[in-house]
Amino acid sequence: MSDISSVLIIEDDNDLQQLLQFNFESKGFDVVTRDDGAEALAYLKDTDTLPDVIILDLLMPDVDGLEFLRQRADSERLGAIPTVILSGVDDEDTLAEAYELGVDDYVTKPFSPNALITRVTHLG
Amino acid sequence: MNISTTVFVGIIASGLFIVFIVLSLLAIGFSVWKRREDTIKARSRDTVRQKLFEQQERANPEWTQWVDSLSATERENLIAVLDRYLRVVEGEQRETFLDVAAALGLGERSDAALEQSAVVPRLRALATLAMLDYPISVDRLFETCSDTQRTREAAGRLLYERRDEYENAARLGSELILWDGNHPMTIYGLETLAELNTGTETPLLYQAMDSISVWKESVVIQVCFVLEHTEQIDPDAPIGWLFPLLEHESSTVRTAAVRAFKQQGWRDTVRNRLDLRSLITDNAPNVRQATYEVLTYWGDEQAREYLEWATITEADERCQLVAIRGLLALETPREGFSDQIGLRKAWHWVEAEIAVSDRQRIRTSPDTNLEQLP
Repeated sequence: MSDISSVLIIEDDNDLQQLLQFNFESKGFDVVTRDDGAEALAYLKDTDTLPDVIILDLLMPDVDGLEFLRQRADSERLGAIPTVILSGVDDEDTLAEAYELGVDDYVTKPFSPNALITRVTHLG
Repeated sequence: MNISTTVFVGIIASGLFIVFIVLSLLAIGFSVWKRREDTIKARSRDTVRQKLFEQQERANPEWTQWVDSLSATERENLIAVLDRYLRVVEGEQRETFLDVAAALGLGERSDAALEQSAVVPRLRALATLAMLDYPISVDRLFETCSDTQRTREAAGRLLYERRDEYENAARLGSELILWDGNHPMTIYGLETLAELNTGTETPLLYQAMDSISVWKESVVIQVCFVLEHTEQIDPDAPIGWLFPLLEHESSTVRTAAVRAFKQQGWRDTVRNRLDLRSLITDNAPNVRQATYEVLTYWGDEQAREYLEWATITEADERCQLVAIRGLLALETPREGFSDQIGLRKAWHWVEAEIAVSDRQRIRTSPDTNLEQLP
């Protein structure tokens, strides 16, 4: 049985954000959504209950995915949250940098929502 | 200035002021109206997306009935949402979205749009058809889309995206994109051509063998560019047509041809037939530089020897840098090699480049202690 029950989705594309929220909630997860890295960092700073997993897009306004990861890596509190990249970017350099910055999984678009949930579930 | 002139100027100024005020009010009014429209549209999109998810939860969604129950605006928004989802979603949920698209009659609508003479509606239709499973024949694509380069490329893309459904998708798609070889391709066309020719079959090599003599020079260069970026594994695919291009009068064509050999290094027959000595003494620096890059990519013993020779004999400083970069990427040269006359300056430059690159790479690591860096 997985220990993961809550997810923070950081995605600026509203259609995709809602699709992910629908799929995770259908499988019983508690879901919080934010539109970019800056909003997500502000939320994580203020909240008492950290999510079990973060789903992170890379290309976003203000604080993008890689910058979010850098700031996450600097924080002991946030650094422990498993993070999955969900992005259309699949070049080798970005992939390498994301893993160097500590992501746990990297899923490229197009993607299967069910497969994503399975991968997230097995992070726990 | 007399009184009548003063009155005239006053009237003109008042008129201009009134025009300014009216235009400002119109601009404000338009932006308020546009904002309101956008808000309504976004709300409608949110609503229809939510309805789509709710319907999906039902044991028997009855998509046709559900779609019929939507307003015209909701249907338009639903099409926009599906357009987004069909591009990013795979698996079981994609099948659901394809069912919704079928209930909307998206395939039929797009198929009918191919009859239009205007290019943009046909491009939109082809982009939609590329995402659907609506059956559309190759003959239909050739009949309706072969009149312009942009529509040919979009039809080629459709064949690539749905390559599992069509026999000879790679060959047919390549034929559409190249057509008579007289129309330079867009970046989109080049990328599609590369995708179509990556992997087990490379119909582009066969087409080039048959038709390169009638292709425009700019198209020949583009084809070489595509081959440079396309991994090919067909051992029987013809490559002989590429060799004469190495002696073409244009150095741009020669350079493109050299680069096209990059992905062919695994073929002994190609490596043995290529006159590398002639290429690294070509009078055009671009050709020599391309040769050093290809040799670096191949990285075999012969490539190392040629690169080592080039680092010493190369007269052009930029080309020499490329050769040294290549050599250092392949091996650590013997001690004292870099001290040779004419080599030291360029050698130190490349070593400095590598050091900077290493420092940048190390700096991106979260575990790096920056104070300990040299």
